[in-house]
Amino acid sequence: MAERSFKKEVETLRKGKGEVWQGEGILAVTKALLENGVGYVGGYQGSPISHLMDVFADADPLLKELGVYFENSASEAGAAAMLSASMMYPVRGAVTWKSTVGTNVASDALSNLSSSGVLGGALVIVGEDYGEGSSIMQERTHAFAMKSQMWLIDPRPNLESIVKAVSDGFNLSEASNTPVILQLRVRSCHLYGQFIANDNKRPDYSLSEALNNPERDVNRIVLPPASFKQEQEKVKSRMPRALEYIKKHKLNEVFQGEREDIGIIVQGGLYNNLNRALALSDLSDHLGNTKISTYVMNVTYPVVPDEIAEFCKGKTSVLLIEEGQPNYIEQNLSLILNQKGIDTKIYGKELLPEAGDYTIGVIQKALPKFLDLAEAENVRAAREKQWVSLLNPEDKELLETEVPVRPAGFCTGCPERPIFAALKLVMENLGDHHISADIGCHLFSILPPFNLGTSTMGYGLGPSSASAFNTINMEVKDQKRVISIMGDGGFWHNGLNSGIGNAVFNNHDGVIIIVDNNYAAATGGQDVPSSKNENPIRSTKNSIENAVRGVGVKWVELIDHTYDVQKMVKIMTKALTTTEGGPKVIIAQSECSLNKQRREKKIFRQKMKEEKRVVKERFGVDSKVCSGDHECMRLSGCPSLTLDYSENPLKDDPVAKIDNSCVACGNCGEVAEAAVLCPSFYKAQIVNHPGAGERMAHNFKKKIINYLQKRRDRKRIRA
Amino acid sequence: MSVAKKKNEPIKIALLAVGGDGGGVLSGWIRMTAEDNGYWAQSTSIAGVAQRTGATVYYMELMNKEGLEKDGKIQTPVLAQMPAPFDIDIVMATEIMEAGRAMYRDFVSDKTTLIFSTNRNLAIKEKETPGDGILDGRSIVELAEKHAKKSLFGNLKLIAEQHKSVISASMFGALAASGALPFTKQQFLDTIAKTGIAVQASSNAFNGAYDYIKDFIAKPKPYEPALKKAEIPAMPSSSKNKTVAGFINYIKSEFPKPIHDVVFSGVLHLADWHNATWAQEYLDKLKPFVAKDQGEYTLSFNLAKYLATAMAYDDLIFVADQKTRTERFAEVYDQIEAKPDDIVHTLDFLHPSFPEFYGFLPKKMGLKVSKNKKMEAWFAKRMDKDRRIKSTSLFWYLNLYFLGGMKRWRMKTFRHYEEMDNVDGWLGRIDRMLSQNYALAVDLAKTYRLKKGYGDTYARGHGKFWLMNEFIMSNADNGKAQKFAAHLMEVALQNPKVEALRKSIEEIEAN
Repeated sequence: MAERSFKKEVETLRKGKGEVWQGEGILAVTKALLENGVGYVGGYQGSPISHLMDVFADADPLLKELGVYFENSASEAGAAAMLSASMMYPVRGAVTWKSTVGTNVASDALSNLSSSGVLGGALVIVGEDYGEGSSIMQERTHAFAMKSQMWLIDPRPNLESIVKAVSDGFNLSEASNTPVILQLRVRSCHLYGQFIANDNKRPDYSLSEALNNPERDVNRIVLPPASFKQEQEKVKSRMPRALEYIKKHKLNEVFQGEREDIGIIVQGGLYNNLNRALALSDLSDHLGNTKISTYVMNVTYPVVPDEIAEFCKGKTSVLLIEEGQPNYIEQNLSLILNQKGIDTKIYGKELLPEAGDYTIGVIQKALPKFLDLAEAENVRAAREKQWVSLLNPEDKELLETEVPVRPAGFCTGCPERPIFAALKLVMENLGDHHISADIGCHLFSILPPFNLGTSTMGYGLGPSSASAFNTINMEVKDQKRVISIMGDGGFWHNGLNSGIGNAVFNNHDGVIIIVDNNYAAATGGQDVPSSKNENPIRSTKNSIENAVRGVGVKWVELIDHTYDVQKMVKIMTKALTTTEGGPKVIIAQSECSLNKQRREKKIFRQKMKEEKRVVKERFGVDSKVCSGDHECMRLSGCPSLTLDYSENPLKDDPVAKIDNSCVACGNCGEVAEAAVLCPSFYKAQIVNHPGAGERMAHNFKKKIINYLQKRRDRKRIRA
Repeated sequence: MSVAKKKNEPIKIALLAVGGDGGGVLSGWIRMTAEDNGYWAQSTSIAGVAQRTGATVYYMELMNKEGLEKDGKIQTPVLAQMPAPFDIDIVMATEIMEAGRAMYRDFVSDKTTLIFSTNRNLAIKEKETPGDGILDGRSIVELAEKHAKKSLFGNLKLIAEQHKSVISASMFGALAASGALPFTKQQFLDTIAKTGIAVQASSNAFNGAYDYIKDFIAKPKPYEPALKKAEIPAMPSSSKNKTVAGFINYIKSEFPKPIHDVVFSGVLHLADWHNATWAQEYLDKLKPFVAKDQGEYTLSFNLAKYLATAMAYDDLIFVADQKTRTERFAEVYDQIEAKPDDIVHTLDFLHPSFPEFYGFLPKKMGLKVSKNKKMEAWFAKRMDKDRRIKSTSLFWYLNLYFLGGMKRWRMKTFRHYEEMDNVDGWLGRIDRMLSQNYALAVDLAKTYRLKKGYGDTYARGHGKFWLMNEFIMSNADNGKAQKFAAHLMEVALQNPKVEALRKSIEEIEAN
């Protein structure tokens, strides 16, 4: 079950024609899918599209009513392959993932799908994780659209436009027999806004009809000679039909301004940034009444040559705002104008930065440069309104040193913290080792305070990225082994095969740590096949240990309580020093704290309400015993473990303190013991609603202790 | 009360929150208040890597619907998904460093009402520094006052906690009080009521912060860091306790006035750690140095401070005594927010190691055992393990109580001999240095700050202390020694490992 419940959001999916729908961008897309008669939905969770998956996972009754199939695909490749249901049957399908990473994984299936072509509308909804807040490499999905000849929709970032883009996408896909990518930037996925809803629609053609009336056409299968025909069909038939559809239905928009001689071309998703930059220079207002004619590319691939020609004709210069690199659109425009013999000058990345976010500030900087070069009036106004830094360099520098960075870290109570505390201790004992990291919460171990891990090559690829470091042909005495890390999410995504199976097959000598927290935790706590809880619509509780042994690993250690740091240290040490060959797999398993707390808090509250005996646990630090060295911090990074100055004015350095968000996971105490730190940590148990006997025993004990304390207090010397 | 806004200009709001501060809840409330009162609202957020512990920026734009009407229909405004530089009307930060981040990111300008809470959520860099890495935030307040139109601050988190609520509620109250939004106090409160969750607590925190900020606007308050070092209290003129009164008189007659307070604190510290005789011994050790102090008592002050901590080292008896005290029980109840009649058990995590074992033996025997490899191996095998003790159970309490009372034994132990040997060596070095270089003598006194802790930490601290002492002693004639010593001290306090200090010393010596 996901970290958050979406039952409330699911209700909004039931809204009908004319009702105002309010909420997040990615959920608006979810609603739009249902309004457009989608037949099946799949995908792989990841920021910023996780909520689409989570809402569908919670919407099972509604989906049943509508006859829509939804699954959490094993990977993006699996999701993309799912779209093949629309190849031969007129059923609409949609899949979703984080891009470009997910598109990378999916691209084999996407290539096949777009070569075969589709009959039913096929929509790939990508959360474009580019720019501020992104957690992945900075690349463009645009390249995938171009190479596979899929169409790319990048709508203006308001919910009406985004919702319209879903229906445009399906229609365009069907009109041109081509899968379509709907690209949404991070901010648009998290955008809160509104649109007027429509009724949900059952799919026109059901999957059951397809199964009962199977169809095949050898020309649709990617095998020679059909594959050659398909390539011809792409350029001769599908592309022209797509261009025609885009023109006819005006998917791209022109906003006429008073200036006829110059213009701006912008990707739909950047339109609001552009308009704000213009408005700040009095060249537009907040309703989008621009003074400079603007062509908004809601479809960024293919570029429509006729529309470009018509927009540019009669204009001396046009500014193109195209985010990311390489500048595919700019190249395309130059070619179109050249071929059509139009001598409009296109300004693109020569005025804007070649790489990085096109924020309002960035566009604001480029505008006067453009107006200047275009010899346009308004230039002075624009330049005057162009922002100048109000902070002098000294102030900026001061802020740079005075404002600490906040690297992402493990949550309070995270079961992965003790794993990396143990690994750090092992490194202190056995020396540093090469560690191949992976994608997931566990990747935070590369940041302070743990500072472990060398590389991350992709989801589930931790062990395979360690594969070159196989010691079987090395003859150095006391050869160190490579350590690789993988989460349960990555394990089921592809790591079981590409990591574990590969290590078995190649007799790899390395140590593989599988961090199993019972969920795909980093993406919001979705279930995976090995999740421990009951899930009414999925099969869970499939053991990772069995899977690992099943592919042939002999050396497997399962630790089902990661908080036991000493045991972790012992097993890691054993794995690194044993003489046994082959992969050494350690499965470190404890439940994600966010999910666990969500469940346990409810039970606690219920018991409190019923006045039943219930114990609340928390850790604390004896402030007078803590010496203020902060070694415990360097083995923790827990948000609840913090510092405060000592009451003792003779102590210079602040002492440890645990705040009331502590969930008593035990890492503090374990680490203090394992690293032989200090005796200041304690675990406190508050007994709520104790029994009468317990109360009596406590009072008796209290009397003795009070007597002894008072006895000694009398002798103490106080001011 | 509202900002003079053209009807067709949106109100722009940025909220910077640290994970767990309820930034999502707060931006939802602001949106709801706007929508219920004739505004179009849009918001977006950018979380740090995943949703976990990083800082998140929430950005909102609110637009009066009157400006959107055309032919009786509301047109969709074109609103920004991110702030334009220096174009935000209201910036809120749930923590003082985030207010700094807002300025660093060009959010704050002379049109900005900046509302921030002065509470601290320490960053990992501040926590992991072995010395004092806590930033005090003073420069951030100064810059805020310099750059923002209005700078409103206070410990809003504390206000929330006082009302058993969370910071999102008090921030909401502060926003209402700032007058930066064209809504009435009641309209804000209606939003809280409408959500129906913890309405009373949230409203109380809202009102607490509302009143505080109204008061602040009427009469701005100076900045008080949320985390402050304890100041050395003034020595009282007399005491009811005869022993203490005796010490006060003694200090008055034997020590110069400027160091009375610190010396008195030292006396109390040692009397508490051991007894009055031990406190007197402290004064006796200190006195000759004060007599020789020709400066403005800088050495005397520092020596009084560090000698007091040096003579009260952390040993088993100290730990046991601390864990059985009345104040300890009070601190536990306070920390975990338990009521006085609650039943509370504590489980303590101890791990006495070999040095603690032989240190507890009588001097001669301890010395022998400390060098006995066989004993060490035996200890590692049989004794070197975790001791989790339920310190509130009668059995363990009595054990600890007994151990905490073994003060007479303490003076006979090998550990005591070792510690005092070290203190005497250190005092000897300071004494020798005092005749050569006053400033370096002060630096020597300060090196005792590095010695602290238990187990491995203790070993590291002692290593650093020793390296610093060696360096200073061998550089008495070096004109730059003082500058080097200050730098090395900084290195020692910033880096946990002894190696970093050793490397820095090598670098200096190589040049």
